[in-house]
Amino acid sequence: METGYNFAYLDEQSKRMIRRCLLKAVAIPGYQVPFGGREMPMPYGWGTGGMQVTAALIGKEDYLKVIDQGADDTTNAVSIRAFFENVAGVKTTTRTTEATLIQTRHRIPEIPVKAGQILVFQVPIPEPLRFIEPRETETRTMHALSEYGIMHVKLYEDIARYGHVATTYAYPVKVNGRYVMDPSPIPKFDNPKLHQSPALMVFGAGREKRLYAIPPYTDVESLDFEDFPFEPQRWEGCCALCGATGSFLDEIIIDDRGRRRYQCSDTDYCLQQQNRETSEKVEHTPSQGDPG
Amino acid sequence: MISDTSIGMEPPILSARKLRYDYGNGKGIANLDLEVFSAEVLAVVGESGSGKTTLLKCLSTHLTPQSGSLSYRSGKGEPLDILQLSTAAKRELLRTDWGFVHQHPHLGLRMRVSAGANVGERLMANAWRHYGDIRSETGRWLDMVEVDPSRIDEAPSLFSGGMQQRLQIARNLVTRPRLVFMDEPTGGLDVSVQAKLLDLLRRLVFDLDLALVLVTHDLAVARMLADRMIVMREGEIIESGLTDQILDDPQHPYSQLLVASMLAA
Amino acid sequence: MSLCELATSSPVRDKQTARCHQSAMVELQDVSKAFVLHQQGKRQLSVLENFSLSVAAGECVILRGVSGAGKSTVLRLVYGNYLLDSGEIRLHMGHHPGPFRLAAAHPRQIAAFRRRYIAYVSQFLRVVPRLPTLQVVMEPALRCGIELAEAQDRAEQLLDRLGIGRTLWGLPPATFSGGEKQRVNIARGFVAQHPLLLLDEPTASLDSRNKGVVIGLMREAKRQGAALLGVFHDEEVICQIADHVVEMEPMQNDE
Repeated sequence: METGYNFAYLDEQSKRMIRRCLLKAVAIPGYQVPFGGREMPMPYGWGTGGMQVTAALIGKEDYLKVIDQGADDTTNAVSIRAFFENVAGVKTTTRTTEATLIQTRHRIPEIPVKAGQILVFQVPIPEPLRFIEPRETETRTMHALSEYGIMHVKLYEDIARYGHVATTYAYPVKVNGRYVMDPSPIPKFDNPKLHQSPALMVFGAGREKRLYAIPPYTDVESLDFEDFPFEPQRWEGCCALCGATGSFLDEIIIDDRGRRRYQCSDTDYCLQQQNRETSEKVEHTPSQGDPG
Repeated sequence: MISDTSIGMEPPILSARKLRYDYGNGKGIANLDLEVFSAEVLAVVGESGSGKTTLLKCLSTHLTPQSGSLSYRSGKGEPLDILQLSTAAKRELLRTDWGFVHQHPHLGLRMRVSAGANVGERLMANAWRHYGDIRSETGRWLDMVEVDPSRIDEAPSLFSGGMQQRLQIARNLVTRPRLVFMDEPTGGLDVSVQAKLLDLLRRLVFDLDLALVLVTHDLAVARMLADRMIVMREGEIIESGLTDQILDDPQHPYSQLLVASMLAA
Repeated sequence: MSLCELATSSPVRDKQTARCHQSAMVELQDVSKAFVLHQQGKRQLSVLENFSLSVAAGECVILRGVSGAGKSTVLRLVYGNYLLDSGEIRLHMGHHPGPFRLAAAHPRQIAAFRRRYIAYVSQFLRVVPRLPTLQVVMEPALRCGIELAEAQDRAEQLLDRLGIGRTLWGLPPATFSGGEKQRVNIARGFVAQHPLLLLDEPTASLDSRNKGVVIGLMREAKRQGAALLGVFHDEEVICQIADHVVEMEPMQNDE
């Protein structure tokens, strides 16, 4: 562990400020709380919002897991994990079930999160209304007055253009029947996991200095039309590595003829599945070929 | 039975008393009394700087008058004190019962979403949640304002000025408002396009029992559309009455000047 | 023609009181009207002074005189286009218990009253340019609450009688000849069968066939109990429809 830094990099006053804002965010589910964002030793867009929240929440006893689009082994995930090992000396893990604190970029783990766990999301653009209404003063007023008609304008445009709601990530939700919220660019596949989740979910936007939260067991409803109800993605194939069919699959083009295969975006889940298979049927090796 | 006193004298839908708005330099509007009734077009005329637009903004809650009162009779017949309404209630009025058509379509339209979404927005804002219903209602309104419904998915930026203006009108009328404000809606349009728009407006006012407050500096437009007219100068109403009475027999020296300088209408 | 001679009364500039008619529909009493021309150094132009007149239901009163005598001014005062300086104009219409006093009425009441009871027929068609002819003609009827089918029926009959070919009905009158526009305007004036018709030379420059049609329309209106107040120069027309002719002379205004 590095010396010369305060525990978890931020000074105690900054962490207190962030915790106060988090309390407010938890008290008003889905409401964007402005906070005094600090400079982190990395550029905006790399998860500075999430890291500040993690820094404010993390304790010596925590197990930290960091994922980037589901993977524990990408540069971003590895670096952030190493960062907290260095400045907080905490234990880290790649196992979802083991972690007490999970900082995530754009995914929710496949293994259901439990009560007592905290998910910290990295958020690039916290304001869901901005695409339609660029004026910040106006979007704030709209949130204040629950004027969310224009959110459906975005979905309407999708259906008009593509015949279905083509928004597949950062799919807007209404939290606790009140605030419309951008769940960060998680795939809409993950949206149902937000609803009545036993774990606390906290969202941090570093560039725009906003925090928001979904407390445990809160209703989270994905916006839709009566005749175009919300539907998570589905895949025709299964994971080429573990054979899973119910997980979020990444599509990988494997040759110049456009052949493709799928594999789990959640590396920990995929590994668990593979291990289970090997322990159950030692002789079986998952097919590496085209599942379709 | 129609009695002498009742004919044409149902209570006003909007009534303003002693409205005053001062921009801080003595300019604005002062001491302004005004009544607007259902199923009529009230034209507000006067030259630039006479306070027409300020008046329109005060009536439509975009500016808050420094003194005076403003009362709106809701669809249920109950009077609402507009100046005492909460922001939420004002905004709700503006997206349901009222409409506001800007002079420049880009102020009243969302140029980055399709024509259909522009019209449908007010429906969605009023809790329409069935895509098919929104779609068909929107198409019906495009047809009504003579925008080819097959262009429902095009961006308004691809439309001509006249079409954009008609789109803006559809966007406002789709929730069947009772009171609509228009700021020079035909300004900047070709004469032939203007005529089309005027015809459309007249038909809509008549068919939908609208009250329309129309700010214009074009007396010919006022002549064709408006039942009543008020003439403004330096923030005050100097003359009001039937449109053809003011145009044919103007009393105030300034009205006479205005009418005398107008092209044959 | 003897009928003309009989109908003509002496000028009414002297304080002749209006003939008190049992069923007077339009009453002008001591009406004065002057125009103040502010642009011309507040020059005052007196047009009428203490002018009185009445028109009964089923009666046709014609105003006659040189140009500038104030004939059209009288029509416009009754229509509410011109404001009254002094005197009173009372209109007794249909279900109205009391008279409608024009000078005291709110502009909005005048507008509603007009829509329901008064047709102003001039030679000039002034409508929004793009409306098809049939619509233009039907409109006054629709505006006073007549059913669509009925209004259309009436409009078609009128256009037929006035010789506007069916092929033209769907076109806006803006593209028509002067005579056609004029006839469209006449149809528009008669379609609602208002109880008061103000006629400002509607027959000027019509051919004799159409003049005959208009005379027929005016007679029918009279038979239905309408009051007609008109300005005509055509002696032939006057002879055929006038019950009473009022001679008017211009006022002496200081130059």
